[in-house]
Amino acid sequence: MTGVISGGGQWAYVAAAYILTALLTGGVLWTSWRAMAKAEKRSDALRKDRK
Amino acid sequence: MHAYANPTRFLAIAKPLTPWLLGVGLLFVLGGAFAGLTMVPGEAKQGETARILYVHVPSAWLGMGGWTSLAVAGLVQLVWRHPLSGIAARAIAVPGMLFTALCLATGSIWGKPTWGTWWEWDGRMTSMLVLLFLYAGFIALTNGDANGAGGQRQGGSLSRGAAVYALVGAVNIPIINRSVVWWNSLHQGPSITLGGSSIDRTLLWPLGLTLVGFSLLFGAIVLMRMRRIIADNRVAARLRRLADDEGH
Amino acid sequence: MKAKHQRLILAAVALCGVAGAGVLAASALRDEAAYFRTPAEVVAGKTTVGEPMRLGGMVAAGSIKRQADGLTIDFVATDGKASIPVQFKGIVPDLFAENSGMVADGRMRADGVFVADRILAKHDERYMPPQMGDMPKNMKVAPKV
Repeated sequence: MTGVISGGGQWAYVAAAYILTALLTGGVLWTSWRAMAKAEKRSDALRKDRK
Repeated sequence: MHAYANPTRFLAIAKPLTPWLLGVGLLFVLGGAFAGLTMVPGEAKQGETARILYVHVPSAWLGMGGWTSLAVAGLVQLVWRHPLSGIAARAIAVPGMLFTALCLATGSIWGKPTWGTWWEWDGRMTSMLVLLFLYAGFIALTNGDANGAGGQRQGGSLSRGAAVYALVGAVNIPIINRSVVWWNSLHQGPSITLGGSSIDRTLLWPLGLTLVGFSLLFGAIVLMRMRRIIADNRVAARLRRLADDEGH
Repeated sequence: MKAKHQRLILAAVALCGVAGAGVLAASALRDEAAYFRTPAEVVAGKTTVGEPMRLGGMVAAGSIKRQADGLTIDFVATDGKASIPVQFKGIVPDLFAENSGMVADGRMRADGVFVADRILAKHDERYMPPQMGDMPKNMKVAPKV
């Protein structure tokens, strides 16, 4: 009841917020990239097949 | 042919733009996070936990900005039937939901040490949770038409229902924004207004970096997802043509 | 393009209708959606004794008194217009302090004291660097008014 948050425990909250943000954002970036690369490869391959 | 001309022109810009958005966005986000974690002091009362601001505020901005652009795309689809609008709306939904979820999660992580609770049903938190559900509903609705009997909707456009849903859902955006002004709430009032910022300048600048960085990454995700949908549409169209040729 | 204009007008009308409905609903919810009641609202008689409610306000300067048991605290919640004495037994959040916002769950007692069974700290919108930058982290840096 000091009106101030103090002590080392606060870094755990900060770390949790940053790690969660990094993991989720990284995950969506990665899956979006993978899905795009796969779809564009398939599309390019089909175009090359065309005579 | 109108439907094809546009995506082609779009791809000519989107393909070179994607790696730039990704690279510069990552640079800003990492720089802003580094600055927010190590270069600025803790806040006078909240101590170190105030550093959560640098990821929480960009998430809130992108969660709400995401739905705003999704609604604009829905409107363009309804009125002008622009072929890219439905594709854009579909591509925005997942990153929009991501940042809305991150906003809720990082806010909750901040709330525990600051307020003394993970979650309260105040106006701001409840309306933000409604936004998360709106995104989930939109994704379910649009995946539904993509997997329908006719395969993907032609050109990735939205059904009229999905476009109207996007527009109606936009009503929630001003409610989120004003929730801390209209109703007394646990969440604090706006820190950054047209009149200025009540975040001291020494603590504010890393937020500028992460705001720009996450916005660029959001753009990169949207472009990647649009390119994926366009590629899938081309494959589907090509396969349809091949099947037709064999049928004759 | 006649059809396009028709669609545009239809969309605009629908949008206005939905926005209007939203604003109406929001203002109708004004009281229901409020997270807490202010001391002024309580004094104006919007509460009944013993009914569970949530009180929010500033902790008045110099009002926090700790009782002999070391657990029970008394303080005054104020919104500048009215003040309500509050009693609470338990642990308060770090940010709970005089001249700072708080929200309390509890009920009014017949003698006009609000008995809280949970207290949350409310942070305001200001973010300030510590005034005394060189002081050790754990020392009190908040200025006492």
